[in-house]
Amino acid sequence: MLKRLLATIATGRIGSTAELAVATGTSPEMIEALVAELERRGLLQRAGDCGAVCTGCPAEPSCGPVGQAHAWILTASGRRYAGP
Amino acid sequence: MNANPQTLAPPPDSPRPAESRRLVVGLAGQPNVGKSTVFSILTGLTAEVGNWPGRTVERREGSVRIGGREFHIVDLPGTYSLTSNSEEERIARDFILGERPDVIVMLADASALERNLYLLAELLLLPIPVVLGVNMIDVARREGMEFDAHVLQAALDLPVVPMVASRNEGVAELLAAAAAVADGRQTFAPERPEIAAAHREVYERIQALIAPAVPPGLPGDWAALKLLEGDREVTSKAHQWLPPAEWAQVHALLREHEDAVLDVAGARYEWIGRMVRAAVRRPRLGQISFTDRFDRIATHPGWGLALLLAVFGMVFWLTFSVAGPVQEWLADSVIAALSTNLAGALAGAPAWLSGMLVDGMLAGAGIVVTFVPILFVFFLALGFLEDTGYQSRMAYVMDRFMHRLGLHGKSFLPLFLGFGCNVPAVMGSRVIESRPARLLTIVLTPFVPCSARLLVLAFLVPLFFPAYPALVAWGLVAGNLVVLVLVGLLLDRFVFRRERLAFIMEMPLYHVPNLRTILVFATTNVWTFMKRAATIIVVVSMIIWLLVSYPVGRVDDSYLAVIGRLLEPVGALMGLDWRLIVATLSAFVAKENAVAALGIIYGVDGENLGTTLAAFVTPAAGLAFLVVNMLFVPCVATVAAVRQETGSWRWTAASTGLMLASALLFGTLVYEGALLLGLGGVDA
Repeated sequence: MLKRLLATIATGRIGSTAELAVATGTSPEMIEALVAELERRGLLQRAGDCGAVCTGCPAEPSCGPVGQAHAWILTASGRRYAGP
Repeated sequence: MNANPQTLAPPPDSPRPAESRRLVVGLAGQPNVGKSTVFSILTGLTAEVGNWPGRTVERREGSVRIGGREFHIVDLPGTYSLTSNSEEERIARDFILGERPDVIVMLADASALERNLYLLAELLLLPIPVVLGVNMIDVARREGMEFDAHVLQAALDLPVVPMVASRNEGVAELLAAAAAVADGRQTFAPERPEIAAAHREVYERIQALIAPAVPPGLPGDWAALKLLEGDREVTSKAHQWLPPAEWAQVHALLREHEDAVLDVAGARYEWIGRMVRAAVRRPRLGQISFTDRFDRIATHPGWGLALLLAVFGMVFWLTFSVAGPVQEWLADSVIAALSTNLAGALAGAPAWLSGMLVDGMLAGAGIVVTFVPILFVFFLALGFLEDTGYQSRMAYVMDRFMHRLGLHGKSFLPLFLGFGCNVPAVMGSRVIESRPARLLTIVLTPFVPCSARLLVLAFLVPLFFPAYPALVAWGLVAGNLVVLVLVGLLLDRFVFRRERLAFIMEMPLYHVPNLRTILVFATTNVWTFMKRAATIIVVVSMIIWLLVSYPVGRVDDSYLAVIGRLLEPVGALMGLDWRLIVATLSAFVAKENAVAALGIIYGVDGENLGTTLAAFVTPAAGLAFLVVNMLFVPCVATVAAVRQETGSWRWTAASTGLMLASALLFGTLVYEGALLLGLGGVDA
């Protein structure tokens, strides 16, 4: 299940968790859980958390999509497990 | 310890326990499932807090007496699993395997069972009975979920207690169920997740190899599974337990089946999926189906892009229609009156002081402040887009479009982070492991029209094109996106050909925006801007005034004119005279300075800035100026971030050079195109 998900992400054809749920025939909640699992294992890396970078920046409130959306990038380990 | 346990009433219909021995209960669960609430209800003032032996993690325990039976509760650290990834996970499993509680009570969040039951899947592999408390069922119900505890209990074959711990509902029942299992009054033979068929054989071989060496008390099948999962602690210990020959065999098997780690976890999630499908029903809420339906258009590579451009057009139209007249009134009445009064008040002051304050500060920073209404409406519109959930789709739809052009994911990160601010987008590139892919992100990011740049458009466009500002601003944003695509394709074709970035994005559901949130968003941003106007822009305004007023007091013979004229041969390609060149250069420190500079250079005669610009600058030159300002070198903060993230002056120069070259190229093309359309030539 996790490997299939990684392989699907690695193709780059599907970019949203909602579409991924449809493509893999699972619920969005399950995709959420699987993505969290892959992140914990270091196979996906969360992008967009400014963290210390934005601390104190006066323009932080206007940082746009980062506030509501989340994104994860496939790591090198993730790509290795995803297969060719 | 716990000489006086707290006393709670037993559940109404619970039988009196046959045994009365004290039960040790391990309270387990992932973080934020209400474990602390349950622990506090159960133990009250008897709770004792210390540290786990040899660790810095807090250990909390306490006692409770229910129906004459004492329960000693040990609150385990919140963990997602029982693998040795964190100290908390090691503590939890060491406690279970070492201290062997009579029963484990695991709490799960009813609205996130898919995520929470993973820990249960791991607990069931250990030789301790488990009872499941499904907490926050009230929250799950509010989210439209229907949860059937009986069905889940039947599917799992272990006691399941629905709870609302915050209202003390189900807590006593949970302990009653735990006692029944611990006493053997209720059979405990749960349905456990199975290992995937592809790895069953290797699992059995490892199990057979390690069985003779596993220390007493540690389940051999659990240790074999942990080895397959790549558990660092168990792997390290197995190396010590096993004779070298057996270890070599185990090690070889593990290397050969390295991918088993995902199959083991994957099988657990398949098991979880079966359990949740049986017991949970999530009707499609209106909000979800609306999001699904609307996203078919909003995230479509073609329609979505058209919608994105329409949205940008609407934002500018609204901004200029609503705030434009107010801005004009402020400039014509308030600032003009203020200027006259200030000049009158400073009549006896030295000329340099009066000039600096009236013609420098007020003409520069003052004109910028008149744009506050535009700023406010613009941020109201952006806040509306963000609060409805649409803004998150902007990056996604652009990337889908670029994916079709062959830029597989390469533009995602710049777009995802850069629409808000280019600086965190450049900083955010550090999550990308491959250096070429990281460099690509860094180089592309400044081409994304950040909110500050859109804001400058909102400032500048009505000055040059007061008749149709929304159309021009919209065209410039669309043009900027075209440039982003072209630069992306260019870099993809010649520089970063093999780089590919795979990503996944979770977008929020659309929802009705909250007026207060939007107002706070707009007000915060306007306040931020005002602070900038009061500091950087005032200082830059005064410096520009000094440079434009000396040495002889004539603008055309000023120091600034000398500096600007040095670059006029390049500016002439785009119809830009030295004034427009200098205004562009001043934007490097802060983009709003371009407006301040224009105010000082063109507004020195006291005329309305828009009227003066119309007399001095042709539409073709104005258009080229706006294009150059959209694409000109990124702001100083972005350049600093590029230097920091690339660690290279060469790449910083390359990134800045690329922006500059694009600004010159597209500025010239737009100027020439505008000339062909009969929009005039250099007139100043």
